[in-house]
Amino acid sequence: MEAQQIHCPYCNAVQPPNETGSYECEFCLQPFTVVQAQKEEDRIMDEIKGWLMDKVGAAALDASNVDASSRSYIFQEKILPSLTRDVNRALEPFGSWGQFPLVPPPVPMPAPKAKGSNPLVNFREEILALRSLRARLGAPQVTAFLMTDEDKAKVHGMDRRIADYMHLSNVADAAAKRTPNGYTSARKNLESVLDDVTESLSAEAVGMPDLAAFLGAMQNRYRCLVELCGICEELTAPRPVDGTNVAERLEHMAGQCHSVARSIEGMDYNPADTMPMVVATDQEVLWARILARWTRSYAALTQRREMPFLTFAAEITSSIGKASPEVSVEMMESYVAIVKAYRGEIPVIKVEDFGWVDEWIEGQRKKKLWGLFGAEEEVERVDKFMLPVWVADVRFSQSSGGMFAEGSENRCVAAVEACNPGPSRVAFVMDADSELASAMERPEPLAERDVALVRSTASAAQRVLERAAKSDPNLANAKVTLKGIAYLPAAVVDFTSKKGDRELAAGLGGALDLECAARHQVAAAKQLFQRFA
Amino acid sequence: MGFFDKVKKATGVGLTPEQHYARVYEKAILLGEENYEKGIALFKKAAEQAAKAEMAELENRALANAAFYSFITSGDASHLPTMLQHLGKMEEIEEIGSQSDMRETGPLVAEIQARMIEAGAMKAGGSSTAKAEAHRAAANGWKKLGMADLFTYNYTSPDQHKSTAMERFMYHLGKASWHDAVATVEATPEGAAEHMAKAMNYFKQCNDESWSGKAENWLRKCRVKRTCWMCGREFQGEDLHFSTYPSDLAPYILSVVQALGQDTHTLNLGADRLVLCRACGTTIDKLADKWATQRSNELRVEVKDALKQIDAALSGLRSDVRTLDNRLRSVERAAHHH
Repeated sequence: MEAQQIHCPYCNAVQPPNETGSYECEFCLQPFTVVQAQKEEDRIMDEIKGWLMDKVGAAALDASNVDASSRSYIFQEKILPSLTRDVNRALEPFGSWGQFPLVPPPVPMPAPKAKGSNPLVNFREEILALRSLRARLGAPQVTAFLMTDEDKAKVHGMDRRIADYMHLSNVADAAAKRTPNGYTSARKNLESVLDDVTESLSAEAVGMPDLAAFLGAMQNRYRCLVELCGICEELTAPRPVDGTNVAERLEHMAGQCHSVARSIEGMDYNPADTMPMVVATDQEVLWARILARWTRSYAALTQRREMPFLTFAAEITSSIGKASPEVSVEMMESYVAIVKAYRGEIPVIKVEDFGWVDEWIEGQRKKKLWGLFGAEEEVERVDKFMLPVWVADVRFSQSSGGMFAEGSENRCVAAVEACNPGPSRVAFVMDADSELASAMERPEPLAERDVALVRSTASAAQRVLERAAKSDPNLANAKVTLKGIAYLPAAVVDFTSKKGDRELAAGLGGALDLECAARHQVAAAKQLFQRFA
Repeated sequence: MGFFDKVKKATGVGLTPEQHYARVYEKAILLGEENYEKGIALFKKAAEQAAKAEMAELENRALANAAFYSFITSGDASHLPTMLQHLGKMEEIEEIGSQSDMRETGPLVAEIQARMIEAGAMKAGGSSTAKAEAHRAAANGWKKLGMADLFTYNYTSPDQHKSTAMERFMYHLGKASWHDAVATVEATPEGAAEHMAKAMNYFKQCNDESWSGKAENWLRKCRVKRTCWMCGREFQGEDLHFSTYPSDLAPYILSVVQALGQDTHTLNLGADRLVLCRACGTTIDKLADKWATQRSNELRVEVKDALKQIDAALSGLRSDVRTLDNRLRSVERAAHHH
């Protein structure tokens, strides 16, 4: 006796034999029992019989009662139009799925360019419900009416279309879980889709070069995604991985995916099918490249202390706090830079003269007027540290000469605090021989000392500096060219008096007012160094 | 510099052509953007002086800058041919707002050439096919520049795409495909969907959310197929070749359709609407319009006599009011005299 196949009652996928009677579908990750599977199978069979009865009547329900030519006629006139319409209508709501990338990596990623949410995830219930329609296409009562190879190919084509939707929905749903199991399931589904595409290539694309080229490109895209799933399985496993190696694989994969997108873009095949794939594939390239940046940073930061990738990612995202995925990546890379600088692996622009601090504190300290009025402040605590600032070269013009005013060109250095750049934290250093200007010419190793953590991106700093330059009446025609991060001496002082306590922070010889949370950023950097330096 | 030199600079009297040219920067450009207009006039004056002295190169440089600053301050594309004419004779030109920083003219010339074709596309009118062609020509203009960074768009741009030539290339391809879709949809919605899918992709590639959103919406509707309730034919393109119309539906109607194995998507029970193809729908619309016009004309004839009578009555009343008014005034006058 032939053993009965068990189908998942959720996605209809065939399950490998299992003696326990309890399953977890390896395609859609839903748990179920044999009883549930059998119940769903019976429901679907009843539904198919009812549908067929409507179409062909009770007499023709058993196709063996009908001769071959009548069966063919019934199929063409009654069954096929209805099947085609039902399949088309059922798939209609998911039409825009093609533009959505399929496998989200296990770190924050920029949202897809496609509008709205992915129908493969959004219409999950509806897509899983397609199992009834799929079962109808494969039911022996229906296939008994397929008399020609052409008819069989038509029904098989419809079945494959639905199967692909179901598998791809499984991919999107499972990968979105961002767990090792999820990525394994996504990979298995992708492999099934790959098999379907391979079959289509040999069955449907013969003599149709445009379709063959499109299916070939899809094959390559899905292969890339299988590779991506494999990488994500490694990254989500609870053990350290070789981040550099993973980054190289990801970059290679992104390169291949990029070529796939460009080849699809240049195809003569139906653009309504090809163009959404270009959008999705380009997004997958972007995601793979961002993930490669994550794994490179992971490799650099965990060089001296191994840890699983997800632990690293969680620590970094919690340290960065609320930020867009693009900003998070940039910030993480700035962490790598500061840790490398701290380790002495890379030189940085820095000025180390703290000689101005005492004078600045004394200048800021409140004193009693004539020994009678106001508060006499005392210095309770002083913390000196290296403050990261974004520095830029500014070319500008200025006017001079009063009645005979004339314009001339000049240049200066602009600096803005990198912990929290804002218009009030910008300084323009006009002196061409300033310590900062000369430090920009000769980067040096950053000695192991207290440093505040960078909390901003180059693009944000560029915007702040451009705005500041534009609003400064002394800087006409200003052009700001960002040079990078420099470390400048800074200090936080706590004053205490009978009238209350206050905290003050400054950098760049007192020219740069800082936010008082600077100590917090120093503590954050210390934590980073303890963990990764 | 002596006092007389300063006076010469201030008035422009007694300067050499080179000094005239330098004066443009010292007295206008380097004083800031608000002095660019003055700079344009001074560049033209410097060009005249250079022409008088037969210093063709200096004259050309001054005229190139005059056109350049005119364009960036006004955004008027009519300056582009003049810019092109003069820049073509130079290796490099001063950066905007600077006399010492120079910029190669080669990429700038290429950008202006593409921009001139684009200006034509922006103004293109006529059929959708003509508009598509104009945008395709603009896209081809940008294609030659590849990934080059744009310069003039930092100063004046008709839209948000001002970073690279590739961005403008994609934007114009998107617009070309959009117009292709509009031109095609009457004949073949399937073909139109192909064009619109291209448009959507191009707009996405240049990060134009607004246009890509519009294309996506259009595409989604264009792909939908429905069976007409009246003629029973299947049509593609929502709000293009079929629409939904208000009706009075009951669950029974849906069950009949279901039992017959017909397309249930034709009915929307919740919204009380059903699908009619453009032919059936517009036939009803036009017939309804015709009947409505006919009925309103009939009503107009019916009420015409009644309106005449009302008009006559109103005239009589107006005349009575006037008479009463005159009487009242004469009574008031008499009371005043007493």
